[in-house]
Amino acid sequence: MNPIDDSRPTDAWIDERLEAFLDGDLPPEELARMERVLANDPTWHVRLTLATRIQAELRASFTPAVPAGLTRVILSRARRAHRAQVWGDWWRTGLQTFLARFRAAWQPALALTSIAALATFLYLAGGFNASRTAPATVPDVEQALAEVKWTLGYISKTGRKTGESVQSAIGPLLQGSPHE
Amino acid sequence: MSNPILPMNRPFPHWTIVLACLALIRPVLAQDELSQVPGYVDFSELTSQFGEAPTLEVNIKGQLLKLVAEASRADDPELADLLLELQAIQVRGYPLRRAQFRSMERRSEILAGQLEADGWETVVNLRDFGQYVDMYVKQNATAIEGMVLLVLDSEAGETVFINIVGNIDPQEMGRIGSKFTTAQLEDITP
Amino acid sequence: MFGFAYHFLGDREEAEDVTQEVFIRFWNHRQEIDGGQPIGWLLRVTRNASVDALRRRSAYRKTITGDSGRVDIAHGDTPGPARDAESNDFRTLLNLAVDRLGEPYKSLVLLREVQDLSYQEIADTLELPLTTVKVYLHRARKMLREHLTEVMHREPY
Repeated sequence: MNPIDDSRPTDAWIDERLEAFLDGDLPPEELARMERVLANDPTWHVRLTLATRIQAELRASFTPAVPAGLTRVILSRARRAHRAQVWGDWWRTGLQTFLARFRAAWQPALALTSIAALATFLYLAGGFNASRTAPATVPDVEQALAEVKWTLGYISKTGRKTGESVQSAIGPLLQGSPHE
Repeated sequence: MSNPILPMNRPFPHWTIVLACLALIRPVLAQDELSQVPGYVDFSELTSQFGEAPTLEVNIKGQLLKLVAEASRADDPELADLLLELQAIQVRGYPLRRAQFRSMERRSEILAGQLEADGWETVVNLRDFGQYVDMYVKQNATAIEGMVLLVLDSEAGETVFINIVGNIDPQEMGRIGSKFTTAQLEDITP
Repeated sequence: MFGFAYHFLGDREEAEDVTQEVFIRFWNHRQEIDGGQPIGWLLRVTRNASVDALRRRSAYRKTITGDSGRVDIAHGDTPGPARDAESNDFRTLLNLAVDRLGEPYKSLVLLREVQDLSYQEIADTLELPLTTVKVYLHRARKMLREHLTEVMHREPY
């Protein structure tokens, strides 16, 4: 008696197990069944080939080595953060209490001075463009193209709906008007 | 739009001065050559008028627009040619709840008044139940150099403002646009 | 962490910035982090920081104008041994397809296929149930296959 199920499994069954097949995670009976399907079904054979290639390319992805200076920079920032924390504690407990007594006098003057400095800087800098000039990437262009199509589609759709509304509004009027 | 919340134990009443000075600085900001183009409409005021950030925002201009034109050439040469005639495409979308329709209508009328004062000509004024569509164009001696579309649609629950800047053929734009879907625009980049 | 950020963002400098921020955050929160699971914490924060970096890039995208005459298309690094043109094209299409995946699919693919994490490690990193990781990864791989099949049929391969 052959206990093996020789009937062709459904596409959904195959699809659910394709990844596990690639990962080598299928139990023996299902593995054998998948192998039979993939050997005899050209469509699924093609899909498996593509899935295998995708996995291979991703796993072979080049990852550059961590830049030599990165660790040094991180340690340097951590040391600065630690020093800042120490100074910050000193500030909070000592100096802030002292200055708070005179806040009403110095804070408005400091704020107005800062605003004047900022305004002068912006004026001399010739304006501030909030946009960062950055090279457009392929996904940027793809997104922009989708947005363009949506916009043109929206304009066209609105135009059609407007035309329909106008037609429905004036249609009865035209039907009722005396013809030449 | 959220307001800065000041802790009650820091009685510093001078944020109004900060805001006032920033408002004075604003004309210095965002100097953009496009603002000098006749067919361009500055939508930056809309957010303050509507009191909330747009739920839909599109700004495509300059070199990006040219790149988009070339990217579309292989699949749609007509679209590519149309886009090469343009200088900018701007869209702002805001949610529209039924209860807000009247107030949104008034705000749109203010914008419409500003456009007419700036020399824009009315092409369409549609007032249908729950729908309000205005289209304006800016023309020079020989061509249309800008288009603005204002739509209030209480059924769809949206207010949409569109400004197209450049050499426009509205019929061609409508014909080419009829190929495209207006299913919800989602960011295709994560 | 640098490797994940690099593959997620496709930009070496941004990946360095993200890696710096992640480790500084790790330093600042070192007392609170579970001593036995720092890698999971680091990967999770790296992934979140990478997503944020991509969103910031996307926010700036909408006002890209380029300078007066020259616009560059940013290319990801493609070092390694020389490949033939067809392989490079497939790699480019694959990279684009991965970039198109929404979250968490993109992170799942990178963690599994590039970083070689086990399903359980991915579940711990992203704080997702194991079964969810498997289902999502299956969907992500299927989306990649379907997209590449469609694109490759349109391309002159």
